[in-house]
Amino acid sequence: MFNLYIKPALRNFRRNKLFSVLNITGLAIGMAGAMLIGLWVYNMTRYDRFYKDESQLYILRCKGVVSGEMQTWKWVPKILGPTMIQEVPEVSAMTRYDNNWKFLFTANDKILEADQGSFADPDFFKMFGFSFVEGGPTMDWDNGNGIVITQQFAKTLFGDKAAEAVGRSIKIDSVDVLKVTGVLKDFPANTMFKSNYILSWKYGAKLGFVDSNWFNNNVQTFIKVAKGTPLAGFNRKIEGFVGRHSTNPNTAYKILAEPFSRNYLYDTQQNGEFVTGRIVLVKSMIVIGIFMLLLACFNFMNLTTAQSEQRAREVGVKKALGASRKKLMIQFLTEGLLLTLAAFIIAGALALLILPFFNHLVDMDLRPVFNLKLALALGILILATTLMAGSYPALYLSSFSPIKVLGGKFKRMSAKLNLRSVLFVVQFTISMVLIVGTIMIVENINYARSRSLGYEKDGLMFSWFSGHLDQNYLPLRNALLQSGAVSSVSKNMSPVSLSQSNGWGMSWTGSSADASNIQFLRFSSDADMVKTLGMKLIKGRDIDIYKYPADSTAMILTESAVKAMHLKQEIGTIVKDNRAEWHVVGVIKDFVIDGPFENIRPMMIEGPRSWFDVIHYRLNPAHPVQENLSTIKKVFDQYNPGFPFSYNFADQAFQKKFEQSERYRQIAVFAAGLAIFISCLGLFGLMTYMAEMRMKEIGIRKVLGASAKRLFLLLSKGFLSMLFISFIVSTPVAIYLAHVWLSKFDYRIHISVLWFVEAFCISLVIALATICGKAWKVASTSPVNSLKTE
Amino acid sequence: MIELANLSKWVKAGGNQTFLLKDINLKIDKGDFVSIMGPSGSGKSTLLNVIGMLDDYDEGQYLFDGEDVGGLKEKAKQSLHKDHIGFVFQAYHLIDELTVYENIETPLLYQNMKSAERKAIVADMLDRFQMVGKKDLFPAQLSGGQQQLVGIARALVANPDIILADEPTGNLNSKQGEEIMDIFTRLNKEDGVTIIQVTHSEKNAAYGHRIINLLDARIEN
Repeated sequence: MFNLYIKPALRNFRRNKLFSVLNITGLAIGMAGAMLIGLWVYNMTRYDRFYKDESQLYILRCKGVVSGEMQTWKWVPKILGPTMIQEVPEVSAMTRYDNNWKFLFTANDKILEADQGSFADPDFFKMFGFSFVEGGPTMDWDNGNGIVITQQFAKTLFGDKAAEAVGRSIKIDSVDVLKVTGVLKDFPANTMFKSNYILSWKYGAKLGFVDSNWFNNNVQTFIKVAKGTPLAGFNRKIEGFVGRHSTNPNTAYKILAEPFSRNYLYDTQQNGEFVTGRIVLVKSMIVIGIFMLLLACFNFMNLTTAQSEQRAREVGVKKALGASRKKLMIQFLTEGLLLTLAAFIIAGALALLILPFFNHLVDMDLRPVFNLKLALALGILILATTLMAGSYPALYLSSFSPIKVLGGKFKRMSAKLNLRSVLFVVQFTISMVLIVGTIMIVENINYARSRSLGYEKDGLMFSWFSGHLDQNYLPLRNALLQSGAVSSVSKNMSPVSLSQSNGWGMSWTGSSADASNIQFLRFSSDADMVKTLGMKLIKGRDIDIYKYPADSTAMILTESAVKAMHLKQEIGTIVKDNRAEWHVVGVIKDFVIDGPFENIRPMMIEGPRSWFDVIHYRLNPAHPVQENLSTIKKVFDQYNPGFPFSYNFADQAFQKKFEQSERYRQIAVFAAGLAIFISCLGLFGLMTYMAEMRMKEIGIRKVLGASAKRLFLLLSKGFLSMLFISFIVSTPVAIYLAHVWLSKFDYRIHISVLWFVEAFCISLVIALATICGKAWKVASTSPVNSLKTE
Repeated sequence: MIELANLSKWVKAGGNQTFLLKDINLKIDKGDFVSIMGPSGSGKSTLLNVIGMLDDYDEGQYLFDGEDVGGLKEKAKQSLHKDHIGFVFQAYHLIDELTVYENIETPLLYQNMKSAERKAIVADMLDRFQMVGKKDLFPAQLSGGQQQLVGIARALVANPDIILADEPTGNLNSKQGEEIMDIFTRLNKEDGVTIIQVTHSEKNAAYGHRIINLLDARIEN
């Protein structure tokens, strides 16, 4: 075995050092890419998929027609869950879960503000199998006198006394004292339930967070149904649930249950079905991973078959000496396997080395768990790579006929269309598609970045309401304005970059019957919104409760709202919403409150009769930002004692919306870079080989008077024309993919010819740089050396 | 036309200097037919390569048509070479991938010539060497003598003043060799082409007007 297969293979590697290095490098990079992507995909598909009773767990959704479109959403009324568990016998457990709450904690002498606070029902822990280190959700907890915290949070609160956390008291928001009734094992990283602490909904009700409105969809609800309950039948049973309970059955939407196991990957709805979302990214990554491996395998095939002339004699002699084709194939496959193994070891090291960077890229904490499953996956990777890369060369090389080869009549594959050219074209097609993709993503981000926002984000700050800010708003506002650190202040429903409320069912002076289907965003202001946020007033005036006492029910419309409402005379129009009547006092230009890639939705800005959650303030440009900040902090500390001053910059909040896109960009750059690198490794190898093979021809041509320039052209012509074919092939593919990708964005750039030209030029430059040195060296070698007959 | 004065070429291996050519003084006039003889390793091919400007020399002077080759730029050398010199090799050195026709045409491709003109010249050449019927064959399909004929046709197609032939008959049998020598003689007499050939064969050397004997990198008198 060793003497027959492995020893000749090792010798052959040594003899063709450059090719071995190129082959191994290409395969190693491809395999490393495949490993990382595989790890990522595995983690994505395991997200929230480790629950024992998974097959019985469902999430409830609403479905209905909004603004003329069938839509589904994850939020249901808070009253739905408790009612359903009483009325539907199949439902054995239920929890409503709401995250992202922030409270001020006082434990002993420690004061801190902690986020990722959740509300849940008692079934929550058992349904998902989250276990306690100590204690549990006791009656005290359920009644709103207790709190459940995670191990990690117990450490934060009690330090080294974390082990004795149960039974201790915590003061919340300086108002309520709650007892720790249980310490929960920390949640794994791959779950949507990321809580530091969990409060019961009864406590939530005490704080006024619970309502029994059948049209207020504001909480995620999970249910556990009896084993073997058919989903379709169950959904038929519950779809009219809201209609049966509400007083207004006409506008009722349907309720439906969906397997919780789909929740993470299928998180975006399209035409009323949750059919897309993260799964698209997962699928794209799988495709990229396979492509990466394929590219590396193509390299291998190309470089190996390029050596055919060299190997032909060996094959001929061996066959003449009685070797069967099968034996030769085994020999070549063994070589492939050895190279793959070498590449695999390097790939493993490489993957571990770049894992931290990759983790940063995908914003996850991936780490390989060395177990049987991983070993199996890696074994399959090695085997698949060996077969993909090695089987064609083995078939091809072992096919030579000894008479032809040894009779000196053997000719290497000509430069005409052959498999190698096809592989080359495929490699560069993939590379170009990825480059176009990268350019597209970058351009699209830039396009959205330079979008006119409708508000002035620089110099604008905001703070969320906390503690006493709501009560002390007026003196705080006055003190802020007097301090000179800010030029204006406005109290609003939400940050200018985050929409917190929307609804439909509004009517107005002269509205038609179907107007109630139009969805509007809600925003609110006490005064000075236009000035503080830097908006543009088109008609009328800003809301100002301090100047016009009747402005508590005043309303400002955005241009889109005016258009959606078909208003001719905006000022003075009466709008009915939430059982209140608002009178329109002004119209402003649209502003981008949602994502920078989303369409602008019509919006109503309501006066102080509405509710508030945020204070916006514009910094006085006359002072440095730091100075302003310290002045503002003093004012906040004075009017909100005991609560830390926390602030946000509007421009940073806007920037944050690009996080996802930036990540896509980095992934695209990463993939495109690797693809072109692997392709160029192959190109370099082919060029080297071609140059060697054509040494004699080049020498002759030189003697016949060809200049180095012409020879350089002769050598690169084949590659350049194949590059051009790749460009032709890649263009329609890239256009299609760009179209699919961009259709996810409402506000998006148009596909541009320029991208394709750029991608071609980039590939051309890189390819030329790759072959240049070699081609030039060969073209300028003295023919005396290559034409020696001795 | 060609004047070599005190020309030397050497290689350094370790501390030793080995001469490939030493103090070569040689004058070849237009219309001359010179045979270079000598044992293997005596420097015949090197001398031919230096004359053909394929190889450099280290010392001395080389005048081509009164022009100092040593002082010429690579480009100028190339153009001299292209316009004046044709090469014939022992191993023919035809391009395997090209047909007979295309092989002969190749030097013209480097001459900035119109395609119609090229066609006419190549056709003429094929005619002259009676190879019209073989023009679409590949080198591998020809006998050695036929391949060398193609090699000569190719060397002649650009209408050079000088033909440098490095053992042109070395791979041929005596009958084929005679044929080639006859062609050289005719070219020399009728067309006035200067011919410099390297050969091992006394008989072939005798076709030339004079014989230069090389031994250990020097010309023997």
